[in-house]
Amino acid sequence: MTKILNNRFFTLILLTVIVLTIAIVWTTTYYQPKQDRTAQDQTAELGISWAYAYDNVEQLSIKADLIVVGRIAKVIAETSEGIWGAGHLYFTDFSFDVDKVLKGKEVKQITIHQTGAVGKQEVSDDPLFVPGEQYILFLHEYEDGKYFVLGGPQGRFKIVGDEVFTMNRVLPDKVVLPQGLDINGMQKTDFIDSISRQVSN
Amino acid sequence: MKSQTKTVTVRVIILVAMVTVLSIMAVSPVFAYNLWGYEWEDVDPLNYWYNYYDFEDDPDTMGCWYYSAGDWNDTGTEVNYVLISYYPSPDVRCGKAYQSGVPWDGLCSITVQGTTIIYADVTINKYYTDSYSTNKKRSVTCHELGHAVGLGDSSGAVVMNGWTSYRYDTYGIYTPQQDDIDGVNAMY
Repeated sequence: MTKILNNRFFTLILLTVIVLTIAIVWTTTYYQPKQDRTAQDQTAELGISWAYAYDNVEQLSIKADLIVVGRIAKVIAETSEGIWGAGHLYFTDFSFDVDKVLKGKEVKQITIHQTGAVGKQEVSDDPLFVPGEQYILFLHEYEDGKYFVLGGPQGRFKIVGDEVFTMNRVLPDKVVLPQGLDINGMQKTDFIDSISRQVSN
Repeated sequence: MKSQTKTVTVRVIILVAMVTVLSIMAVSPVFAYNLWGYEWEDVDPLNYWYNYYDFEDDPDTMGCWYYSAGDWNDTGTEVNYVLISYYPSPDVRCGKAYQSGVPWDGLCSITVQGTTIIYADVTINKYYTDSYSTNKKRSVTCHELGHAVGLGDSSGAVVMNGWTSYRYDTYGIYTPQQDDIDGVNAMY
């Protein structure tokens, strides 16, 4: 031990630690590796400012017109609208098969409106639904029978097997959520029960 | 002998302290900003444009785009937003929408080739922002112009916080903050 810590060896170790410290500081502060993307045709990504934020499931439950458990059935329509002075926006409407209604009117199928379209535009932190995916969704009815998800990724809880995940767990590199909306593999039945209790209060 | 023991002890303490600091730095992020993964080849100048006639009935919103571009220019980074007429084609177009069927009040659409931004369209959603104060609108326009530069969404008291109700209502932010500036400097 004394030998290791004699002057020469100690100096060498100290220098190594200093170099490693500088390397880590530089890497984490100044260098951000680009995502591994191959060259591709021009594509568009969307960055969003969400109007409202919800701190937790309770706030989502209060604000939602409809809370449902079910599955994305299919794409109904893809539309685009010209935006004054700034190109076009694309939207996709999905039909959603409802297994269970936790709040709101009893429905079997609804339409969910989402910004973006496959291969044209996609919101970075709110990717397009994929038919077959299962979710628990907190929704606002903006037109009769037509809904959008509250707070973008906030009101969207993905079901995988018997477990529920918030979108920051599904897309950890892209989605940032408040601490109160962090669910990582909660049992679906437990999550549904907790929502039902909040809705009935 | 006593002196040698003391020297060894001091050196052990120094080494342990440095390894501890190193370990903490390795696992703790030293920044909060997020980069979108796309960059311009050059952000000086970054020519932007809005159609005066589109905003004739809403000069306040038009002003927000103008002042937010100026706010990014004032950061001292390489970003230099320059207002131009339509020809030649602008890098960034500023527009407005009225969409009731969406949860967003602002949007930035970037067109990319590989990881290079080719052009950007930034839009404000008047369905929400018509009821906002001027500074709250500026928080949206500044956020979108930050996306146009290549910044991703972040959290906390920064203009790249992805939620207007946090960014402005909670933190009162409508101009770039130091962490946002650090993010730009990391890219350019």
